[in-house]
Amino acid sequence: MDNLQALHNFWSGFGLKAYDENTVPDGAMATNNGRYLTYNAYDGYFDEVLGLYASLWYKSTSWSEISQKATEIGETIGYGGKLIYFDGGAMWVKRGVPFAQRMSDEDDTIRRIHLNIEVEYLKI
Amino acid sequence: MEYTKVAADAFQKLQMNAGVLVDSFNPATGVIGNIIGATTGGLSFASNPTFTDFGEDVDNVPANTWQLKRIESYDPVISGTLLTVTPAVAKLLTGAADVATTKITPRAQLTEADFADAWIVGDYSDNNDGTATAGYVAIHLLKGLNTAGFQLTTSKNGKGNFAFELHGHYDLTSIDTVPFEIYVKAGTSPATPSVTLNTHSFHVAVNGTQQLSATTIPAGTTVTWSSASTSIATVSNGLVTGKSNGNTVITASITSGGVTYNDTCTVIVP
Repeated sequence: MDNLQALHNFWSGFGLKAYDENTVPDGAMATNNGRYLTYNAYDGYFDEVLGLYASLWYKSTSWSEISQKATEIGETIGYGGKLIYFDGGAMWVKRGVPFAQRMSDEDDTIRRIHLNIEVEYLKI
Repeated sequence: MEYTKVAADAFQKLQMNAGVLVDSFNPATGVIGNIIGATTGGLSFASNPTFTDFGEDVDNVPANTWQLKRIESYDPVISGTLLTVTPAVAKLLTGAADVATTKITPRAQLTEADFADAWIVGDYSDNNDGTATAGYVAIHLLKGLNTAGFQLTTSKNGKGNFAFELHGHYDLTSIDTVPFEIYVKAGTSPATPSVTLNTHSFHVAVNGTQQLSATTIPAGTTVTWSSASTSIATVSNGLVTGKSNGNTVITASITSGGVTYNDTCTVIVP
């Protein structure tokens, strides 16, 4: 498993369908029961820290559930971050600042939360 | 570049994060005692050996000849800045002092009780999840005493800072024991989470009950119970109650790391 697959698996571990932001299919909201996650991904090398992000997308007029999911992800990463291992290295995922931001959307029935993370690559 | 390299396993051998300052730590179990306080700016440790060079003043012998070098003693020190304070912490910071509920009274004489062990315990990058399995870097300071004196620095609209320097001390009853120890332990993979029921099939009469029990890894994980057909049997905290004739499935679930794990049991209500 390479680092980008490991990052995909990390984002897929929260009970939501996760898409690389460049490969979100049309109708993703409908095919995923009105909720999914998008993320961006960059490769890196030892001692490099990248600012990456993800977005939670919920078909809802309430912030309650989506905020709970953001909290769950934040708690999983934890205060000290989380190491995600892959073949030949690991990535140290840390919460960015601010970690979770509510975003507006043209469609008032969609709730989106933007998540900032820092990823420090520990691979040669 | 021939010599610009990183070892392939470097990612498994890193000390990570600021670590915690605690009053005790069990290296065998990985369990920390009480956190002395929240710190800022990380923690520092230095062993500070003092050397004597017996060749220093000897003619025709160069300085730093290894056969003539001796270690006189160590002055190990943990230093840092605390953000939180309690009467106990204020006593620790004061050094020689007595505590009477809210009042900390400095003393001119030191007693043995003024010297207390302290630990820095920090994460290690090779498997750092799970109390019993996480890797750590730990430093044990023996008979620590804050020799920097009680220091409080306040700031406008900011939190107070309490700088400290805990020095380790030798003990006359064990004079060869150097007053610090270092532990480096690679972690092991935590066991895969699971839930296992004590039985996977049983009969229960209408209005009869049967208690199911679930064993979880990690132990103590909250179990969620459900019945595929509550008209045939219901379940509450593992207690199954037959409702009407038929078969149904009871599911015990746990969630760990965002992943759900299940075990099932077939219930027959004859």
